[in-house]
Parts: sequence; C-alpha cells; structure tokens
Amino acid sequence: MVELVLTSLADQIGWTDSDVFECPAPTGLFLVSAPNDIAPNSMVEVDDGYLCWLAPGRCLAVTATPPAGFVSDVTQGSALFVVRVHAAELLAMGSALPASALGEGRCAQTLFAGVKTLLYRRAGLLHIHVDRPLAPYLRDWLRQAATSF
Amino acid sequence: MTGTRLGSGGRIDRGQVIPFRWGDTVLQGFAGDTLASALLANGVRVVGRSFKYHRPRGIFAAGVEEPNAIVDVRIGDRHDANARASLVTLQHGIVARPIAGWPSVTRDAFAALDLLQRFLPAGFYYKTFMRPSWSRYEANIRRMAGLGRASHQPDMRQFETRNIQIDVLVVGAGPAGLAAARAAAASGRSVMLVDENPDFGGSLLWQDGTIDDRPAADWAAATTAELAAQGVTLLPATTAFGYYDHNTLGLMERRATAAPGWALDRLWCVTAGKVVLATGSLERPLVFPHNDRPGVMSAAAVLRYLRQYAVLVGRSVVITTNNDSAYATAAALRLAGAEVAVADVRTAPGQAAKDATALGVSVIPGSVVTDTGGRLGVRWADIGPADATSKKAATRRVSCSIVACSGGWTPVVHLFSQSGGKLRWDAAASAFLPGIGRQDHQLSGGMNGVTSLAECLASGHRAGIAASGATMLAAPRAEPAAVETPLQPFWFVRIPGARQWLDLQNDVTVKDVGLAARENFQSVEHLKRYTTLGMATDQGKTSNVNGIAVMAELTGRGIAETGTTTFRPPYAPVSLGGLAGSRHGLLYSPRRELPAHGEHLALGADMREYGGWMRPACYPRLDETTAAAIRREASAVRADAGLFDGSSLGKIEVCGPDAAAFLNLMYYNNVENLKPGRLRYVLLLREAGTVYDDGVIARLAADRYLLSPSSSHTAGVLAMLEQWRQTEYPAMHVAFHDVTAAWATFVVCGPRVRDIMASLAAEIDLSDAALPHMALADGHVLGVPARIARVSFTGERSYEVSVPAGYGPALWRHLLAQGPTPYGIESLSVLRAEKGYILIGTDTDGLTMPADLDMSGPLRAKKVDFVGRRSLTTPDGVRADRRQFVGLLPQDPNFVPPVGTHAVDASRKSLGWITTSAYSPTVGRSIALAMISGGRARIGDVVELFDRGRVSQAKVCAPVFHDPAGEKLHG
Repeated sequence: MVELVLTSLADQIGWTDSDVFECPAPTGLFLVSAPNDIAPNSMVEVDDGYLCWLAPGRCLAVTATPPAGFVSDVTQGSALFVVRVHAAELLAMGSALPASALGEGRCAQTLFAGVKTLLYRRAGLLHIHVDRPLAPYLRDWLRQAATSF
Repeated sequence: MTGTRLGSGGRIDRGQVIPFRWGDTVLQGFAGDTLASALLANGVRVVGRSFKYHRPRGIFAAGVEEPNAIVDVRIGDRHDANARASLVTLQHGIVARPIAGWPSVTRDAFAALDLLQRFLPAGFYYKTFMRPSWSRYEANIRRMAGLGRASHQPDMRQFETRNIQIDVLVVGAGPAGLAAARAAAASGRSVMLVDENPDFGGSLLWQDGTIDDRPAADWAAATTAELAAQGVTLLPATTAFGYYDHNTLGLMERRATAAPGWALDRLWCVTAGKVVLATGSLERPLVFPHNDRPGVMSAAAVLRYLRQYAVLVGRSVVITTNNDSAYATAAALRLAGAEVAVADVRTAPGQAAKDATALGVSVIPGSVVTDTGGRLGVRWADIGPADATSKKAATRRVSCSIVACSGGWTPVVHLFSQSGGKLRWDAAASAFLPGIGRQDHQLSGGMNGVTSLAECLASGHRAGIAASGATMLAAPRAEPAAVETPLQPFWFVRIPGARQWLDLQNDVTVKDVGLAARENFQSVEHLKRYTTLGMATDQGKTSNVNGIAVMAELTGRGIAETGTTTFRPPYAPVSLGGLAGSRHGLLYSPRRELPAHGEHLALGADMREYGGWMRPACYPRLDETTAAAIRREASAVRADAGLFDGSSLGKIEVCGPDAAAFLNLMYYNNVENLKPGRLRYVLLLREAGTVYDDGVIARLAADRYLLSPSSSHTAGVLAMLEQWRQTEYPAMHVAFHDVTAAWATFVVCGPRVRDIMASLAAEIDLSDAALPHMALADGHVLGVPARIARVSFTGERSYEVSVPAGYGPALWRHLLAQGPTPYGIESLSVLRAEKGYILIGTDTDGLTMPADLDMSGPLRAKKVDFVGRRSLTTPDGVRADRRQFVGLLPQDPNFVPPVGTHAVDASRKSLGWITTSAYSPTVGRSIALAMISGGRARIGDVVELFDRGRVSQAKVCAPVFHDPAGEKLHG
C-alpha cells in the first residue's frame, strides 16, 4: 500500500534558513470548548503542555493528548512561529497590542501583521499561532520586517 | 538685491558645503539648511507658478504653512512630487525642480492666463466646464495647473509602521512643549515628544529670549539632552497629522536614515494616556493689493531665515503689520544692515515702534502697503493710509525687494479640532481658540492663545504636570513680556477692484470671496467649496482666518457668527506609502495558501485570489489559452474524471446537546431531522430573508455537526452563529470550532471516479448502499485518518476526500497519479453552470430570497422559526415581478454574453441581468444564468440582451442545461 508522507509546516514554508524565527511542531494542538473555563487572556500549565484562553469557555490546548470537552484536533491546521530576534520591535510593527499584555502567563488573540493570531511569550520568546494557510504570508511578513533593523 | 548669506550667525554648519540641483542649475547650501533657505541664500526668487493664473510665486514662509514653494524633489530612490521646500532638509544628492511653468518657471507661456483673470472668477470651472462633462476637460486643466506628477512606476521601498502606547505624548517641541515634556518626564512616566522640525526648540531657535538665565536656544538644547537622558522618546522631523478617538494619534516620521530598501517615512500609531498639545501658532498674512509677488513674505519667516539660516532675504525691506511681533523682524533686519520701513495700520503703535525707530527703522503709523510692483518679484511698494478706499489716496512709493507682512497669529488648533474639540472665536486674540475639548488632553502655549515666552513656558509646565502628575519641579523662567500694543484687526485694503490674495496656493482673492457672498455661498462650508479657499495641500494654514473674516465683513456678520470649517486629518500631507505600511507588493493583502499549493504551482496552475485564498483558476498547458484550458478540463470531468482542490471550503464543527435545535433555528432548511452520516444542502438567510450563504451540513453524531460554508463566508458564518448564540440563545449549550485549516479536501469526480477511489485502499465502505449520494463516513485512507463525503458541485458522481492538512500534498500527488484531469475554479464554474448550481454572491445579490431561486419548499415544510422567516412572506417577498433565477440560451450559440449584460423589454427597460455565462463544451453552445423579473413565467420567451450598445437575443429556459434528471450523480 502506498504510504502518504506528512509534509511538515517547516517543509511547506521553508523556515530553516531564517535567523528571525523558527517553526517548531507541537505534538498536539486542540481547540477545546469546556465549561471549566480558565481566566481571560491567561495561560495555564497542564501535565503535558499548556492551555491558552481564546474566548469564554474556549481555549487552545498545546498538549500531547486532547483534554476533556468538545475537542477539535487542529494540529495540522495551526502554524506556530517562535520569534528569535527583535521580538519587541516586530510586535510593535505588527500589532497595536501593548507589550505589557504579554507578560508571564498571559496570552492574547489579536491581529498581528493584519491577520488573526494568538500571541504569548514562553521562555522569554514571542510565540505566534496562525492558521496554517496564512503561514507563508506571515513568514514573508516576518522576513521583510526583520530587514528593517 | 535679493537674498544673500551672511558671513556669520545662524544654525548652519559652514564647514559642510552641500551642492544641490535646482532645475538645470547647481547651487550650494550648508548642512542645517532647508531647501527653501538654500534657495533664498542663492538669490532664487521664483520657485513656482500659481495654480490658476500662473502668476510667479516665491517662498513665503519657513515651515509647514508654506503655500508657494511646492517642488519636485528626488533624493536617491526617493521621489516626492509635491514637497514643501521649507520642510526639505538639504542633503547631498538633492535634485529639485519647480513643478509648474512651461518652458520654465520664470518664462511660463501659461502666464497669459492672467490677462484673462477678469473672465476666470471663483466658480469658473463649475459654471464653464459642465458640458458635456468635467472629465472631458479635467486632464488638460490638471496639466496646466502644474501639480506635481507622481511616478507611474511601482515604489519598491518598504514602509515601516510602529505601534506604541505611551503615558504622555507631547506634540510640539517649542517652549511650551519642551516645558511640558520636562515636567512630565520628572514623573517617571513614559513620555514621547514629537516635532515636525528636525531640531527641537521651535521659535526658541530664532527668536530672542533667555530661559533660566541662558539664551533660549541653549536652554532648548540642554533640555532636549536632559529628556534624552531620562529616556523620553524623542521624534524630531515628525508630523502629528491626525488625532483620532481614544487619544490615538498618527505620526509620520521623516527619518534621516533607514535600512537598505526601507523608506525614510515611518508611520507611528500612538495611543496615549494623556496628550499635551503644544502646537504653537502660525503667522497669518496681512492682505493687501498684489500681495502674491515673489518677495512678499511672512515677517516671522524673514526673521527665521535670518536667525536660523543666516539668510538676509533682502537689503531693502518694507514691513506691513497690525501687531507688535513684526517689530522683532524689523529690528533684526536693521541690525543685519538692511533698510527697513514699517507700515503699521495702528495709528499709535507704541513702544515696539519707538524701539525700532531708535534703530533707524522708518515707522509709518496708520498705513498699509496699498500696492506692489515688479515682474518676477517685488521691486517697489506703495505705502498709503490704512483706510484708503482709492488708488488715488496719498501714497509713498518705496523701492524694495521684500515686503514682509504680519496680520497676527493663528493658533494651530487643527489637532484639537480633529479630536472633536470645539473652537471659539476670541476677539481679543483675534483668533479661533480651543473651546470645549472631548478627549483627555492638556493645551498649552501658542495654540491656546498664549503669546509671551514666559507664559508659554509656564503653561507648558502646568500641562506637563497635569498630564503626568509630576510634582516637585520648578518651572523654567523667562523674563516677563514687555507690554504690547494690542493687535488691530485688519483684513484687507478697501480699494475697489484691487487684486488681493487670500489663498496663495489656490489663487483665491478677496474679490472671489465677494462673488461668493453675492451669490449667497455665505456659509463657510459653501465658501470653501465654491472658491476652493483652504482646499489646497496647505489646508488654508495662512488663508482660512483671513478668508472667513473677509466673508464676515462683506456679509455684515461677526466672525464668530460666520464660523469656521472643520479640521480633518491629515494636518500636513503625508506619503501614501507611509500610510499603507507593509501592505503593498506581495504583502498587499494576506492570502491563504492551500495545503497542496506547491503541487499546483508545479502543474503550472494559473493561481488567482478567490475570497482571500490563492486557488488554481485552471491548469493551462504550454501554449494553451485560458479559455481552451477551461474547456479541456470541463470536458475531461464529464468524459473521464477530474480532480479538484476543495480545501478552502469551510469546515465548522458544531457540538453540544442543543446543536441540532440551535442550527434548526439558524438555517432555512430543517437540519434537526438529518440522520447521522447524512448531508443536506442548506441556505443561511439574513434577518431580511435574503440569502447570505449556502453550503452543506453533515450530521456526524446526535450532538455533532459539520458545516461547510462557502470558502469566502466561513468567518462570516462563524461570526453569525456566535452572535446569535451569545445574544439570542445564551441558554443553549452549543459551541463552534472553525477547523477549515486543519484539513486538506480533494474532490474526485466523473465517470471513472470509482477506479480512482479504489486506489485509496479506504477502510471505509464506498458502496452506494453504505455511502450514497449526500452521505459521509469517517475512517482511514492509505493509512491516515480521513473523511469521505458524497456531494457534488459538478453534477457528476463525486467524492470529497479530506485528510489532515499535512497529508494534503501527498494525497494530491497520489490521486493525480491515478490519471484524473486537475481542474480549477473557472472550469468548475462552467460545470456548475451547466447544472444550474448557484454560486452565492455571483448568482445572488443582497436582495435574493430563497423563492427567487425556486427553493421555497423548506418554508412550507419547516415548522419552527428560523432567521429571516418572517421577511419571506412580506408583500415585497412575494411580489410576482421579483427577479428569479433562470437560464438563457443565446440565439447565437457561439456568442457568450458577458456577465452583467441586461435583459431588456421592448421599451429597453431592464428585466434583470446575466449572473454567469460560459461556453459549455458539454452542451456545445453558449449558456447563461440570469436573474430576470418574473423569470419563471417567461420560460420559452425570447428576450433582448443589451450590453454596452451591443444587442442580441436569448431564449429564457430552466437553469439546468445538462443531465436535468441528475442521473450522473449516481452513474
């Protein structure tokens, strides 16, 4: 039987030559709607990852296994960019969000570079989730913006 | 004698000579010059031509208010077709030229228009160029007017945008702004200080005064250094051009340097906790006959050119004024060796006049300049009584090269007004001052009517403290102002017929305002539009108050009663590229790519944008036209098999115990009785009963559905569902997840589709019994999780195969290897048109109801309410003449009438229009879909088609041209 080969996001958009960002592949990404809510715009650590608040009763689980509730697997549908350099400047170029909104344990679903994203800092690095079809656009935007420094 | 550079003085660096080109001539200036100061220093008098009469014009001002020196400037790859010479910092490589005048600015053939001025009054264009249409004349008039010409080449530079949140934003870095920033910085809050000039200090750089026992310019430099050390964000050469809601301001920075490929212009979007407006004031002209000649300048500008740039603009100067401030110019000029006469409209000018007289200035009280002469610049000025009503009044002719004028000061209230603040006329200040504000700001300095240096510093200090909460800081001190003789309002010389300019850039005269008054365009809004007063790129900075005052006098009203127009952004012209930011070129609009984007490119697909997605329109072969490719692909689907990338089709998962009930309240069709594993075609209506979207709903389980809206409506449908759940049905337990991006979906269809599906080794029963048309099943294909749906948009037996997006490229390659013909959106459009399948937004518009599409069954059958239901039975919803969806067969089978072609009745009244048209390779002729008034009753009729003068005929028919029984869906 023919075996279908998985095309990773990194292969799709070719980020490996970038000094500006990297595109790690989380083990799992799940949209979760559940009555047990977390605080607005917060991130909560769980056993195998963390949860990012999206809306009342809804979060994105960056976990290996899906949490309980109404869960949709979007592992293949969401791209994650981790910005390596000039994060503060790139954030100011791409979004009207105050840097203070992305403190420790905070996240925000907002426009960045003109597209809907989920932003947060983790280990001091700016993380950006975007729909996978927009990943090539965001790659180009980040690459171009980084040439301004 | 015209302008010369003095041997000493000024804030220029004589050690750095900067050559530059002005037209065909190479001139020299110094670092620290502006283009305007360098031109004056080189004796250049004529820098442009007036907009309407092509009269010669010279530099009038020294800042953003300059109305005449609009020039074309190139520096490297930067080109500004309408640069203000007074704002262009002189630098190496500048190539500047006038934008008007043919063959040259000094010998302009169009100057003959001035001889016809009697026949070219205000409103001339509106009255004369009405027939056949303005567009017939516009191009030539624009060319003659001599506006700058933008390049037709794309601007390849990148433009940066910065967003920033700041506690205190101080706009203006003159004495009040510096004092405000200094006070605010002491609070420890974040502070940003911006000024449109390259150096902070404003008038401190060229006016007399001491602050804290230091020369004012030194204090400005020291304060700026202190602010930098305190971490204040300093943005020189930055124009605050717009003040919007929530204390959000737009700033355009003109950087000195930028990274390669990046423009110098940088847009800042600032959201400030508090704003301090310290925008100062601008000197307005005193209006007198022939006040537009090169050499007529603002008195303050003459002083600034002298003090800041060491340019003596003329050795023989007449100053005409109605206030004390011009005496500072008179004294400075005299000390620089110029001959100076002052015509002061006040009969008792006071101490300032006495001081000037002591320096050798000739002061003539109660007088004004009543005329000027000179072909390409002032050569003489007549000084006569301020109340002169005739040219025969006793005058004294003075030989001079410069007439400097001062009609008082106009506070720069533009940003305050933009923020929603109301203005009030202050008769004592003879100016519009800020009245009631609407946003969280502090006002200080000249823009708030303050005139003396000491008061400016004090008001700035108070504003800074109020904005930041700072304490324990002493205010900067300056000597109290000398007692001034009050300004005497003087708006124009009352000599009948004399040409006196109000708006130098748009050539608007006192006579034009008089005509507007006589023709009853007396409201300031009418005055502005009828005469174009203040509508040029200088936004009337030097002309508005004078124009309003003239209108007030001519109509016997007060200025307060006459009012002022509304100030709108931008305060000064800003580059469009700067506003666009990164949104140009490849990043113009965020575009989504399909999972198999690379595979489509490898096949040579003609990729186009559809609803934000880059999708293949078709896959033309080498030397194949688009039309030929579409026919080939459509034929292959009907005869063999086709492969289509449908990954952009929306996928919204709906889950919850109330999912079925909620969706039934939303959709036109009944979805509650849908069995798990089955699909249903559905319409979603607006509250007005019109069709918003169509799509397919699949029931996955008792409490779980999968919606498939059209590609470009997915976000809108999701928002609509959320809105209704949150506002109308908050008690219902249902949630929505947009999972469109998570899946790659490919459609395989056509007579040979079963063979291709067999290659998938699907762990799903694909038999018709297990998976009939409009059914869905989950399982695995080729070892990966998959979902297969039987649904068709071509009329052929079709399978939609969905796998996680990352497997999309591999699945596409596998399916393609089985031999189907890949087909794109345009080919699909032909196939669905042959079947009469509607495309929302193409075959429908914002007025289309389900019955218009012959889909009224659900309305009769459905028992529960749903969005839009009540609107469907209104009188308008059941009109017999509503436009209905029908087919058309053009009489000429080879003619494809364009989309938008109207069907007309015998009186050429439109019956409706064609929404889709194509040449159908299956039917072997042209076909069309249309929305025609009472269309279904016209089936069998022949209607006339009309498109841009071309007339043809077509027969109205049912909107299904192929396989009307739908047998191929199961074939």
